[in-house]
Amino acid sequence: MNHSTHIEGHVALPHPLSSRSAMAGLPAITRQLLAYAPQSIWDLETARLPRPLQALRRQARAFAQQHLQPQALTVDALPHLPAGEVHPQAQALLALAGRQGWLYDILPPPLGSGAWSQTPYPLAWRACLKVEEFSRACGGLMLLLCAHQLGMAPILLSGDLPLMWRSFVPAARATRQGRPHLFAFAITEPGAGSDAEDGHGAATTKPGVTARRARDGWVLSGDKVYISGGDLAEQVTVFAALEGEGLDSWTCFLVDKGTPGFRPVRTELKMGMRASSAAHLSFDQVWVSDKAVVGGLRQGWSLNRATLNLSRLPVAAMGVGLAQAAVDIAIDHACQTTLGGKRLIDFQDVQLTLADMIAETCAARALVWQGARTWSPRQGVASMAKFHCTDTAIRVIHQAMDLMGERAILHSARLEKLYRDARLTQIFEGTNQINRLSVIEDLQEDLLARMASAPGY
Amino acid sequence: MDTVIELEADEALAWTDAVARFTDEVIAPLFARPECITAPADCRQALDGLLALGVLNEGPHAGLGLWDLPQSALGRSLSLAYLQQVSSASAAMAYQMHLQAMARYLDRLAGVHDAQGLPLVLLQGHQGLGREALVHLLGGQALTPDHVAMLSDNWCWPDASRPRLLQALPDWTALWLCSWCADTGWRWHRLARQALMCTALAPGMGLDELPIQSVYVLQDISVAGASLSGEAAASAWSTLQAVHAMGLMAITQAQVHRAGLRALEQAHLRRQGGELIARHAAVQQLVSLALSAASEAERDLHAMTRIDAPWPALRELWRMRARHQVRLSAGASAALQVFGGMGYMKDTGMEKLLRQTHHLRLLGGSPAELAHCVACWDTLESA
Repeated sequence: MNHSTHIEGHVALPHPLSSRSAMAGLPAITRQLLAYAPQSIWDLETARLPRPLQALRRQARAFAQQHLQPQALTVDALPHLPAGEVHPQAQALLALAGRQGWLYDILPPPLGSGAWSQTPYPLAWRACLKVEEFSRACGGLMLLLCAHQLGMAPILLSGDLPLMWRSFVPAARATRQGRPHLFAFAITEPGAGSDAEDGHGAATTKPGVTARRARDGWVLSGDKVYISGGDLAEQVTVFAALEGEGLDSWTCFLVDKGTPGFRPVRTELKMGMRASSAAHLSFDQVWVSDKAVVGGLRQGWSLNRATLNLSRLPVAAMGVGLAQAAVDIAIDHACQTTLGGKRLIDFQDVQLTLADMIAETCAARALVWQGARTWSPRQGVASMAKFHCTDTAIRVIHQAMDLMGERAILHSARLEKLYRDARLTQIFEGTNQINRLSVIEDLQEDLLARMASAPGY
Repeated sequence: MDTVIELEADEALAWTDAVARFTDEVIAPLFARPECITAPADCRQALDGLLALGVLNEGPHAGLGLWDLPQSALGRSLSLAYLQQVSSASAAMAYQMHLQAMARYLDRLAGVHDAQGLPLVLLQGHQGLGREALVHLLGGQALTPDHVAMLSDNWCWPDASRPRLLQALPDWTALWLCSWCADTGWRWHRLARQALMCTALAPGMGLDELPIQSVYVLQDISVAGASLSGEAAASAWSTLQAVHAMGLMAITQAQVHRAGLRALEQAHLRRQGGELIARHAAVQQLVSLALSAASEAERDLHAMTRIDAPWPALRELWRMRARHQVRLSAGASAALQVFGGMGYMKDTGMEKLLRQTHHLRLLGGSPAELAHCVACWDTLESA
């Protein structure tokens, strides 16, 4: 193997004019202040996290590299299955992830499987660290493993401890025993994608799924579409409007798989994220008891919005993970590919592109971590992180593809899959256009105050 | 005098109308279900129809076929129209006929008559175009040893360690391959399929109907068939790179135009926030991004086909492609976004349009590589 001493255009590391050598001559205390030890960006960023989260990030990367990445291309290319069926590889991965605690890690035992040492740190932050690493390995498998926590979120945010106990304790136990118990989150309806994610749109939407009062319970009717993992879930948090009312009456119901009248109709043939299903769920006169109401009647809209505020940061983290994967592929390509005996990394334009990609990805990650560092992520912050990071992912993946050129079209090059996976992140959890408007919605009081104080208003 | 120049404007229009009709009536139904991959036999049937129409010319003399006479403005005009019309139904079919037509162009230059065969052409080295070394060569600059090494490596005869990529229907029988070395300069060889090792690769980003194949030379080049060398080979290389750039842009433009129109249609059907989404600025911006990307590319393509238009310089074509392919990609993505989640699903067809647009962007030099070459060329010339 050819061990080079330097990359073209830069002095060799031992050269007295290299920053590494020059800094080494500084007094020890100054060197500590400058923190100039050679270190990868990943190690550097990990070291800046609180210790329990450092461990979480390292464990997530190890799991993703060992179990997700090797299967990513294979699972992506498997044939489409009917609703409710799952490929053995994906089923095995779900079981393994469940046994290792990755499916219920947002809560500590006995509600979940998260480490007690990590519990003091915000849920969104922990979710983002994991989601980034899983996405970096495979977007589709990440969604297969992580979408179910979105289904758990309304129960968690309802603050109803008995319900949490009833729902999560047996589910987490079964999952740890290798029988994954998944949840799914069902808001989108055939006629209402963005309307389910935006107050202004919701105000004028005719609800698709409705709940009618009957026999100490409720009868749900209608359809939900594009529900991630909806066909595999044991339980689905379904949002329905009360009969004759609008979306402001939205109520969240916990519906069990196998309830008469509830069935996954089909799963979609998607552009990417193919390891995870997007299901069309049908509710034909589905009776659920009063106990299935999550968070109280007419609390569905607030639970929905709160869930989105929590989930948009992990979607932003997906963007970061997918961008990081593109950076890693591009760097490997540039370091390992030669033209006329010269490595691509030795060309200045390649170095400029890689530096841009690295910087964009680091900046996106900083935005996610900054937003996720709190227990109560704001709508505006979550939304701006979501659209910015997912747009960044697409830009960075394009840069990587342009760098690789024609060979980027190949499935084996992984970039075209990354693009297909990343493209979904600009659409789900509210399109990036809806998320932009969501930022303004969150700033309304401030903007109204500025308008009121403006001269001549 | 060539036959194309004698064609009256209304005759040319009637000719392209016939191709448009064939596309609507025969090709489009074959590709009506975007979630399915059209079978190779159906693709070949569509191409046979184009052959019967005269769009593909397998004869020894140039006529009105695709890329028969790229140097003539009217020849370019007809060729771009053919590609755009066919691409509006299937980018894969347009790309396949583009490859076939360029191979026939070389056949005529080399005096090969092989009406029964299905030759194709490969126009890229194993790592793209050859970066700045290629620019020095094309600009007539002195080549440094580094440049020679880069060109010799990139444009070597493909071997097992440096195969080239071909994306086409699998029934091809011969392949035109170019190489460059310091002693002989550009050379073209027409190799029979038996002289090549061809391995099918997993389906890639787009052009789903055309399998991606890894190709390298199996037998000694000295036993190869027809060839071109010297000035003729260099000239053919430059001409075909220009033709390739125009063709790729035309195929992509038609895809994005279609995506934009579909987005516009959706904007007038779908409601959100109590009104048609066409009334939302966010949607208007997305639709406009798609349609303006398509119309700007069309404007530049059209400028190359005016009757007094000179032969487009390769540098300007690459500059144009580097800019337009990026905008066209963004346009296709914006068009998909108008459909929201539906756009991501295969049955709407929007994701296929997007994948194909991105795929085409990477062929014949990625925008980054083209922009790098153009920047190098500009700087060298001004010096």
